[in-house]
Amino acid sequence: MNPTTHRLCAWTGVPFIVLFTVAMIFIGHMVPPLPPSWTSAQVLDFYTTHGLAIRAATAIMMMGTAFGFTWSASVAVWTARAEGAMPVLSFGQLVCAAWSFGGIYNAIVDFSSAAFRAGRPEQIVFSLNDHGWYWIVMPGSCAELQCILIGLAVLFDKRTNPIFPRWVGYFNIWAGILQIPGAMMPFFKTGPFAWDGLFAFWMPLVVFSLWIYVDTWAVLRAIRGEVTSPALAETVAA
Amino acid sequence: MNERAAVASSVAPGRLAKVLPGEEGVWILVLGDMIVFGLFFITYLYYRAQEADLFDRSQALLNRDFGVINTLLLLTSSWFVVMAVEAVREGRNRRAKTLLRLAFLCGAGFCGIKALEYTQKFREGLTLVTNDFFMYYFMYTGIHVLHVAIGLGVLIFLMHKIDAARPQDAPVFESGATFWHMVDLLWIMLFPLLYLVR
Repeated sequence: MNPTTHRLCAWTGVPFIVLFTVAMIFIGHMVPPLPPSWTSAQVLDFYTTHGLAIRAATAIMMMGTAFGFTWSASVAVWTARAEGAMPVLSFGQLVCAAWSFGGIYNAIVDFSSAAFRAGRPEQIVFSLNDHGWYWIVMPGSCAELQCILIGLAVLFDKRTNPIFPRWVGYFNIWAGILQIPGAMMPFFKTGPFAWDGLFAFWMPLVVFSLWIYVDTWAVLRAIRGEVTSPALAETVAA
Repeated sequence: MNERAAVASSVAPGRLAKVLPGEEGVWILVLGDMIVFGLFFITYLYYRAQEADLFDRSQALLNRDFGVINTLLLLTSSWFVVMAVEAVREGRNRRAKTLLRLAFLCGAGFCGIKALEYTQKFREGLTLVTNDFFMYYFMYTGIHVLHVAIGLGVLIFLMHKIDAARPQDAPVFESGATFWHMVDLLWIMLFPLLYLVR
């Protein structure tokens, strides 16, 4: 194992969050989200006013999102080690990651293309904006499963000296459960379960970020453990 | 040094030193979930205050009998789980298994009643888009019943583990029981909030 490459991949969670936050909040003016209750005229006006800023923001978000994949790999490779010979939970995580992070790509494409041409019909911009926010919230279902699969892999680790601390497993399951309410966003245009609401957007956003920080910490800790006492990491409880 | 620590250090290391039942880790999940449900409750009360009239009129359409039966079912199942953990500690695994099965039946009964209740509401044309009250009603009870389903999964896992369990494996059962009690506790909060608060 090359600890440096493992550390690099684990740290890619940070540029993911930083690039995304900077682009979405400070450049694109997209947080707080455009309310789903806005009329098509209001939405068109937003994309017309901030057209250039949104395209700049989406370009940066594109680059940031890619780091989600390397980060997911850095977690999965360690849970795979915990699982042993046929790490199905870890493979599952990676497929989920393709959608939990990959789904965000679709959102970025929608936002960017809504801002791409001046003079586009109001209803088309309106629809692209809807699509974009759907793609921000809906892939939560894959992020949720990714979290739960990590959690299960951690809890089923039978070593005397587990690769991840067990509380990290419970934390991942908690983080997974919390992203479930987002799936109900198509029913609401206002209130806490709408795409700009407390329980469909803000809470999953906080939990998702916490999740990346906690798991990054756990991976870095596992790498340190491997480097300092590789023999210990191999021991499995009888 | 406080009393508890003194007691803990006077006995064999690893025994009694643990204050929480089950693993420490499971409390991250339990406390984390309780914080979120706390947010649910505050949000509900805040929006309820804005449209008290609408909330009261809508609440009158709920079937309290279903709510009461479900409360009894969950409380009973929690009682079975407590006795099951006790039985594991005493090494009476067969008894523990029966108790876990009974707890499971109560939990499944809760889900069955919930399905009946939802069906009745849908028949009456009441859905999660009817008004704000029913949005909270369906979302909160829906998220809760999802927790019940996860809890049932935990009970199945424990039933699977019971045959080979030794008394020293009790923490595994305590952890599962802790989650199940949380599911129960959340309902004990949710039931008065949605069905009774006026």
